[in-house]
Amino acid sequence: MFITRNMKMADAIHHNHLLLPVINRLGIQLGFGDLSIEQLCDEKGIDIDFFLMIVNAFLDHDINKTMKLDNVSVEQVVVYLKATHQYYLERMIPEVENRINALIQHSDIDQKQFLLVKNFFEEYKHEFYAHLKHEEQSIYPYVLEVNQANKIGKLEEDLLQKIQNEPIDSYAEEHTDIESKLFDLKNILIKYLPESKDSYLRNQVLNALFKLENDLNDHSRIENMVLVPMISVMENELLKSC
Amino acid sequence: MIILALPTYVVRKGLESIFRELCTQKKIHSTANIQELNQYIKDSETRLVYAHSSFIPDLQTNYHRKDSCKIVRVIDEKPKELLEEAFQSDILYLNDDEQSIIKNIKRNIALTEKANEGSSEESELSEREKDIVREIALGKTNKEIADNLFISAHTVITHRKNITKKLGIKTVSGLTIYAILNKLIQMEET
Repeated sequence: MFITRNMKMADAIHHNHLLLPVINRLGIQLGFGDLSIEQLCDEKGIDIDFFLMIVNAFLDHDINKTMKLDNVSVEQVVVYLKATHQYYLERMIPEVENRINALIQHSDIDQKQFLLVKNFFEEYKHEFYAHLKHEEQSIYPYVLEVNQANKIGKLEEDLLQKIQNEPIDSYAEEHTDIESKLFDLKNILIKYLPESKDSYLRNQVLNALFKLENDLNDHSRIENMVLVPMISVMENELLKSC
Repeated sequence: MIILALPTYVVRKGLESIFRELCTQKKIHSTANIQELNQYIKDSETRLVYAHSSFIPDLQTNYHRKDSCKIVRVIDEKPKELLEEAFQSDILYLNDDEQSIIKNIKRNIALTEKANEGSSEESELSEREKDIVREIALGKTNKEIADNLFISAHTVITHRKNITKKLGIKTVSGLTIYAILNKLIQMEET
């Protein structure tokens, strides 16, 4: 189902509650009564088209068919992506950690085995943080630079070299190892840790992991289907113009 | 990946929803566009294509691909003289009865899943594969594993692919945990 401007925000959340962190990151907090999405965006000064694009991208995986990229602002996309990073660092990763700790403290099976899981997640976390840092320190600044150059129609020498050597396309592949680790961790918890009397705490870890994965998929969807194609077009135009 | 290429919107969506009911494969794409269909056919992930008969003349199948991709023709009406004919899995008649349509789809899904995963039924590791997991968990490179086990590096890579398919674990750290939990190695060895 598509989320439209006339829909009540509350109905959109009832439709899929996984949208909750998404609307938070876009600047909307709970307690919005019966306001429609349009009214709320007006009130908060949020670009409604951008809001609808992000929310629908989250729900509908085949966003290619439904989105026009022409009017999307690169700056806004970057702000949103940074907000999702913040959310991973401050909320989702700590949530997984807390649940793993709870699992270790209250488990009836060998603690050593759970320590393996904890260490594995530590390793994952380090790679994940390094990846986010790389995006914030290299990719996003580059993206904004290309966007700026495209706006004023002027290409400096060092940006030209960056476009030639490391175009945005070269970065789309990079997510893979981090995704694999998350995938492995789920299978270890589901299939390979020994059976325990009660799975509740293990379920809790898995729930948090699935939620993280779902959000990360959306994050890379926005990067690969919105940001990368937009910047790619700009790169080509800049190269042609010089 | 399964591709459904049909010009009629309702039929396309209908067939897609039948597929989603019948298989766990998440990558099902539908299209009404011949160029898009030809793109999909080139993609090595595509294993099964249902293409409407009107697309067949423009289908580009003269590409080189290592693994097979089955193409099923979708035909609007089943000719009357064929009514009692034996079951054919490479043609789907849209006006066929529910049972035959489901049988056709199930058969083809089963075929692609087999082609996809080799012996996907077995998830037990073979003794050789256990040797490899042990070596990986000890941090050996493909070259070192090949030397230690007297096999070629190429064989090591093939084994690693099969291990990942069987276990659902892709990374070295993940395989290490698997090896410890299943006592292929001792924790002290890592």
